[in-house]
Amino acid sequence: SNLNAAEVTLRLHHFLPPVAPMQKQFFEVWSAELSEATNGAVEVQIFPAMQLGGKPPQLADQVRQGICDIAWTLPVYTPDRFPIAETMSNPFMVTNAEKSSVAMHTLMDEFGQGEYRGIKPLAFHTHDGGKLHTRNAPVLSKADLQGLKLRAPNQSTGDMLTALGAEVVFFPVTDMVVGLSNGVIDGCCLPYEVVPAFKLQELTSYTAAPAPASRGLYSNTFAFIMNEAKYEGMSDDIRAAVDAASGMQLSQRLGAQFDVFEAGGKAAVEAQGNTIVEIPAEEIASWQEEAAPVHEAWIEKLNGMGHDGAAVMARANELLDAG
Amino acid sequence: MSEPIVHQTGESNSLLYRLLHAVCISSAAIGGLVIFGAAFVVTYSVLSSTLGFGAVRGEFELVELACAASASLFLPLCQLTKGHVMVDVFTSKLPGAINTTVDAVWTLFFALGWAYLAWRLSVGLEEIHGYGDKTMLLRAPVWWVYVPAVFGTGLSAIVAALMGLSVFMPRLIPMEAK
Amino acid sequence: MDPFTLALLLVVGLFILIFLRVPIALAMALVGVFGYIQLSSLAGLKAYLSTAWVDKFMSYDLSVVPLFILMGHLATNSGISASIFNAARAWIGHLRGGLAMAAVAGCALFGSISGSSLATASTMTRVAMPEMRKHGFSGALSSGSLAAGGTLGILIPPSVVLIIYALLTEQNIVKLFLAATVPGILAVVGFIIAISIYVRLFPEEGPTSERSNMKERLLALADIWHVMVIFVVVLGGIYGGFFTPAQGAAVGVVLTLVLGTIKGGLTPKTILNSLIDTAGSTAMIFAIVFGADLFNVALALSRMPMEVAQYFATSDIAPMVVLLGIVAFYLVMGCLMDSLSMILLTVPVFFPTVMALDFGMTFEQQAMWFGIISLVVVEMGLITPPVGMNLFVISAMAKDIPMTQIFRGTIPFIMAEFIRIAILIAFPVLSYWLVDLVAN
Ligand code: NA
Ligand code: NA
Repeated sequence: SNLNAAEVTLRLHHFLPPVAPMQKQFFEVWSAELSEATNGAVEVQIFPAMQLGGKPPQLADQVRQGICDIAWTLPVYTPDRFPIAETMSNPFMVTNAEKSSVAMHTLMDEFGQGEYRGIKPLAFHTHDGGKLHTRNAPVLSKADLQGLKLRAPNQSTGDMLTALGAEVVFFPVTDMVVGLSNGVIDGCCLPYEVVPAFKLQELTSYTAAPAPASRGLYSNTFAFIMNEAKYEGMSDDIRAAVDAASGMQLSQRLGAQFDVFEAGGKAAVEAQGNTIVEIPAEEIASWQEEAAPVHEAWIEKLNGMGHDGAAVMARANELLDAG
Repeated sequence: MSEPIVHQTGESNSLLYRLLHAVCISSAAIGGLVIFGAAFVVTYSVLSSTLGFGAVRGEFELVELACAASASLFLPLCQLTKGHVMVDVFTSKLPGAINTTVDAVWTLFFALGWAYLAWRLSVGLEEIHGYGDKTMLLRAPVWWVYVPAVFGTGLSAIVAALMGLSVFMPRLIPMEAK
Repeated sequence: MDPFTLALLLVVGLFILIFLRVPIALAMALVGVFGYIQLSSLAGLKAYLSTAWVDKFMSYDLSVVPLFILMGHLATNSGISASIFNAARAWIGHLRGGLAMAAVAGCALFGSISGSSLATASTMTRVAMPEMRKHGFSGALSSGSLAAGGTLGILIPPSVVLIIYALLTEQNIVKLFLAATVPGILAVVGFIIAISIYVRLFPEEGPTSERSNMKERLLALADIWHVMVIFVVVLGGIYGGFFTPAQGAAVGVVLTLVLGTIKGGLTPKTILNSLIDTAGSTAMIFAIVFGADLFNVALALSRMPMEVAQYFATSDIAPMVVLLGIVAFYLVMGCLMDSLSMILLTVPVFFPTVMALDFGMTFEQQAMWFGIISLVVVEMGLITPPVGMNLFVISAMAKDIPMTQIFRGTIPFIMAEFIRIAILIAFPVLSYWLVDLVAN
C-alpha cells in the first residue's frame, strides 16, 4: 500500500461497526471520491468502532486536538456544547432526513457559526424521524402509551414521552436489545434505519409511524467534521477538492443517504411481516401541544447561552415547513 | 491475596509504609463503597421498576461514573501491595538481588508513567471543567470524576517512586523493615 | 519505517519487555506510547491521555468487572463459594484428580451467573486453590484447572465478549447466548477429560481425596441453597424479563450480601475486607486494560491487523483454509492481546470475509458458527502464555506458585481446547442446532 504513498493521509474516526451501511455506502464511497478527485494525493484511512480509542462523546475533541483528522459525531453526546446543532434533535423537529438536513445546515450557517471553533465542519445532517417499535400492541394514540415501558433515545424525547404518559427508561443499546427480547421493556423509539443493526424487526411486532404530512417524533443530529489546522495545512488544490466534497451539497447528500437507509430498514420490518400502523395527523398535533414545554425550555436554554432562542426555533420551523 | 491485604501491614514495617498503607487502604475502601453504592442503586431501580414505580432515571450513568471513580481510587493500593503482575518465567533463575534491582527500576518507570498521566488528567480536568461537560441524562458535571483520577494516579506515582527509590536508598526512604 | 514493519517491531518489543520482568500493564503502555508517537504524534498522545483514563473506565460494560469481582469476594468471605466447591467435591472429589474436576464444575456453576472470566477465576481460586494444595495437588494442575475453569465465565452465557460480537456483526444477542450453551458444556467435559488423562500420566500431581457418603453428599448439596437462590433470581430475572444481564451483576452483589449475612459469614469487617480485596484485583485488571488500550490503538494506527485480515479476505484460497488461517492468527495474537480488543480490531474484517465463503449453511447459522469459533479461540488467549489474564489473576493470588508452573499447568487444557475447536469447526451444527430448535 505504500507504493504510491499519498501526499496527505486523513484518519477518519467513527463509532459505528464496520458492517454498518454507513461505512460501506458513505464513508468508503466518499473517501474513494476524495482520493480520486485529488489523483491519489489524499488517502482517507477509516477507523470504525472507535478503534483509535476514546468514546463517542470525545470525537469532536479528538478532531479539534488532532487525535484524528475527520470524525462523524452527534452533538447531543456533549449536551450544551453545540446548542444550535442540537436544536433539531428536539421532539417534532424533523420531516424527512434530506429536507431536515438542509434545514439544519442553513440553521448552522445563520446561527451556529461560533459553535465549532478550531474545527472545520464538512456537513451537518439528521436521520429520519423516530418510530415507535413495540412488542405487544401498536401505538395509535396517547391512550396506548399509558404505562408503556419505552426506551427513549435521548433526554428531550424522554421528557416528551413521559409527558404523554409512557414509562421511560434510558437503556444503552446493548441492554435495549436484551430488554426487548426478554420483555424488560415494551418498546423503543428509533428510526427504521437502525432496525437491521439491532434486529429490532425480530424483537418487536408493531411499528407506529406518524402520518406522512406530520413532523417526526424526534431525530438525532450529526456533524461530519475535520481538524482545522490539518485543513489549512493542505495545498490549495487539495483544499479545493475537500471544499467541493463538503458543504451544503454534502449535508443534503447525507440526508438523502439516510432516507435510503430508512427505506431499507422499513423493508426489513415489512419482510418480517410486522404490523405497521399510522398515527393520525390530529393525534400527532395533540402530542405536539403536550411537548410544547420541552420546546419552551429549549428556547430558554438558548437564551441563556446568548442566542435569540425564539428566533432560532422560529427559523428552524420555517425551514422545515417550507417547500 | 490468599491472605487478605488488610493484614499484610505488620509491626515490622516502617512508619512511612504504614502511613502510605493507611491512605491507600482508605482510598480503596472508598472506591469499594462507591461500587457498592452503584450496586444498590441498580437493585433499587430494578425493584422499583418491577413493582411499577418506575426505574431510577440515569442509573446507567451513575454506574459509569462510579466505575471511573473506583478505578482511580483502587490504583494506589495495587501499587503499594505490588499487585501489578509480571512474568518471571525467564528470570526466575537469576539471583534475587538482580531481580529486586530490576523490579525497582520498572517501579520507577511506573512512577514516571503515573505522574505523567496525573499531569495529563489534571489538564483534562481543567478542559472538561471549562467546557462544563455534563452526562446526557443526569446532567451530572463530568469534571468531578477527574478529581479521583488525578488523586489516584498522583498517589500511585508517589507510592511507586518511594517504593522504587527505597531499594536504592533504604536508609533514607525506609519502606519495609524486614 | 513503514507502519507494518513498525507494528511488527511493537509486537517484538512487547515480548522483550515482558521477558525483562516489566509488569504487563506497564509493558503494554510503554510499547503503545512509543508506537502512538511514531504513528501519530506526541501532541496527539498528550491530548489523548488527558481524557483516555476517565473515558475508558466511565463505561457500563467495564463496570461489570468490579461488580462481578465484588460478588465473588462476598461469596467467598461468606462461605458461599466454599459451599459450591464442597458440593462438587462431595460428589466427584474421590475420583483421581477429583478436586481439580470439582474446581472446574464450581467454575461452570459460578460462570452461569457471572459474565466475567476473571471474576470466575479469582473467586474459585480463593476457595479451591487452598483445598487442592492441602490435598497435595501440584501447583501446575491446581492453577491450570482454575485458569481453564475461569474461561467458563465467558464461554457459558451470560458473556460480555458475545455481546460485543453481536453488536459488531448485527446478530441477535439472545440467540448467540443460546448458541454458546452446547459449546460451553463441551468445554466443561473437555476440561474434566483433560484432568483425568493428566492425573493418569502424573498420578503424584493429583491425588485422590476421601470419598463422601450419601448423607454427606446430600448435606453438601443442601448447603448450596444460597447459590440456587442467586442462580434462580439472577437467571430467572434475566430470562423472565425483570432485568438485563448487566443489571443482573448489581442484583447479584446485593443478593450475595443479603444471603451471605444470613449464612453468617459476613460481618462489617469481612464486608470491608471484600471491598478492599475487590480494589486489589480490579486495579490490576484495569491497569492492564488501560495498557492494552494504548497498545491496541497503536496497532490500529499501523493498520497491521486490518491488513492481515484484508490479505485473507482477498486471497483466492479454499474456504476452510481461510478459516483455519484466521483461527491460527487468533491463536498467535491471543498470546499477546486481550480478548475484547482482538474482537474489536479483527471481527470487522474477518466477519465479512468468512460470511462471503460458502460453507453450505444459512447466513445466520454461519454467523453464529463463526461467532462461537471466534469466542473460543479468543478466550483461549486468557490461558495462553505469556499474556494470559486468567494466569495473572491466579499468579497474583497464589504467590507461592512460580509462573513457570502456572504456564506448564495450562498445557493439558490448551490441548483440550484445540480438540474442542476442531470439533466445533468440523461439526458446525453443534453451534446452531439449539437455536434452530428453540428460537426458530
Ligand atoms: Na458466564
Ligand atoms: Na494469551
